[in-house]
Amino acid sequence: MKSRRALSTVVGAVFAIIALTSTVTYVSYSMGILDNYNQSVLTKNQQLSDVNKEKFQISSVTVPNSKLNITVLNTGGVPINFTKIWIQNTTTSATKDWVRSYVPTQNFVTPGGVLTNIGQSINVIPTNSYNVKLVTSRGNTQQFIMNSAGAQPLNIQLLAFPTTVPSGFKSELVMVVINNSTSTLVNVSPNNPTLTINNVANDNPTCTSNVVTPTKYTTLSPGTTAIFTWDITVTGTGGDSCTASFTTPLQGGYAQTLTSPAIMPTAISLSSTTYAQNSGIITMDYSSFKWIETSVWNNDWQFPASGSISEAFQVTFQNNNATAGGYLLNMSKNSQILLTPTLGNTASSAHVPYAFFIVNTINTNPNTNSYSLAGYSDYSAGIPNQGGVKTLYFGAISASGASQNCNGQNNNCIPAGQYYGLLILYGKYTKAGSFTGGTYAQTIPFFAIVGGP
Amino acid sequence: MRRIGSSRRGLSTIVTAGIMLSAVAVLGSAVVTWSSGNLKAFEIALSNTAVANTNKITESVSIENIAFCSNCGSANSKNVTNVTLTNTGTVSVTITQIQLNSTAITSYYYSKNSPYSSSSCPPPSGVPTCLPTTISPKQSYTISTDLKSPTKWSSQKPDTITVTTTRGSIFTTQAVPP
Repeated sequence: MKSRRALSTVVGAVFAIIALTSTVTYVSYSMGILDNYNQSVLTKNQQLSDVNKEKFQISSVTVPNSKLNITVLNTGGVPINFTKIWIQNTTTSATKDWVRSYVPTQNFVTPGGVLTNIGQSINVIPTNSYNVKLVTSRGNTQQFIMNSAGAQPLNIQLLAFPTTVPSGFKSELVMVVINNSTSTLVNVSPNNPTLTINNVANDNPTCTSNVVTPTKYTTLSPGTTAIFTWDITVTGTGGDSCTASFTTPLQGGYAQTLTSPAIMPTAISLSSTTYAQNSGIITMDYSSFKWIETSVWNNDWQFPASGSISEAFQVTFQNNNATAGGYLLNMSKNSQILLTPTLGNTASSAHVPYAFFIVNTINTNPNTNSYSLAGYSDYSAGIPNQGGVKTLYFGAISASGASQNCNGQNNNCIPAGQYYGLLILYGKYTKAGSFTGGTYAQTIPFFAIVGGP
Repeated sequence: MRRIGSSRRGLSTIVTAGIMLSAVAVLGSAVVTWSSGNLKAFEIALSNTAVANTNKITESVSIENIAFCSNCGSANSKNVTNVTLTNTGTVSVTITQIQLNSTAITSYYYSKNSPYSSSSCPPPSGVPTCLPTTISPKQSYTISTDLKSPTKWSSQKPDTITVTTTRGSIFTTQAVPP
């Protein structure tokens, strides 16, 4: 019985071993296959990762000696091997079938490195337009367009700042070029604008342009913007205007007509409303000028005959400083009106100007037919920023004084004669109640007056 | 009596044991053979699948350049597109089909002298530009697709180019004719 049991056990064991061996072999083989597949997946992932890490930038393209010379910067994290250069002649529609490929001799660049002299074996005509594509060993490509802004219209805008300028002044013509193509543009230069004058006032207006700034953008990547500017000098008046236009804005580029806004020259005038834009921050209202000799304010330009009666004045000013925050121009006690005789004084002797210093107020007294001055404290009167208006009084013989003088050369009694005047204003830009701040001075040309008949 | 009875029992037992042993051996061998064959078949299937998939994920084709030819064949015919492929993978790739805007190309352009030849590939002479073709790793191949006249490619309208390999991989890109 023992031997029979042993025999069946042996037979069963043999089959079991066969079964187990087969299973183990199959599982091991499967594991090996899966491991190989896994390695392939990992390798593929690594390759795809390297493809994504591969980035480069075309930093310049030149054509020395009719040979292509491309400089590339490796901006990615893996070395790059350039395997091919494709070049298409896009100068005209008839040349676009000319397509060639070259294997560059200079072709390897490390991360962060610069590769120069790519394409030195390629003969090109410097004035022609080419579509060039660089191909890497990983299959990445980058395309750029040489000497041409492409076959498609780019997003180009023309602007003029400002559109209204005083005659003889300059306006800025701005061309904004946005590369909305998928290719990098190389050597982007604008053509010169065509200037058209609209002579409305029949006064021979002129319109001239200086050279463009900058003259060229070496490269313009997709999505980036280039800005070109010209200074346009215009003269004329009365509705004359000048417009700049392009039929082909960029050299070798797509034909698309662009016209700038009209630039209109205006005559320089010294009126109360336009003086600020032509002259200074503090402007005066000429119609507010008044003078007094008795107790009555007058606003014409001729005084009565009076060699022994002193005069005083008032003028309304506006502060055009745009700075906000409660600032004002506090006037200095040295502010004054200065009147100078146009023909000298009697006997043709020189006369110092007649000075009338700022006063706080001028009080009139109808009962005595006279006026009196209130002395001015330094920086006590201020004109608020952002268009503040204030009337200032002038009449004192000295700074902070409250009196006048009619004797000697330095006096406030204007003899008969013609005079021209200046308003001299000193002050500090500061906040109310403060005496500290930036100093400011300005002269404003006054108008002429006549003393006596 | 004891010897006679004992002798009979021993014979039948031996016969029975022999029959059982034979049956087990036959059935066991059959089962082992069957399972071994199945396992081998599974192994082969697994191996084939693994190799096919490994090769499929390993193959990589770059559509390197697309050049639209305006005057190939006849002036301003605008029906030839040269598509250059580069095998950037590590295994050879057989390209079986190319499509332009989902239309399978069956006609290829060879030269001015024999434009728009049939799909017999490779041609009797000249540089082949047709399909199917096998591209070795790191090698390039240019396919000159021919849109049969009067069909033309349209300027400034994007075209979708799709390339299919024998392993079923599909590579696609887009290009805009000038």
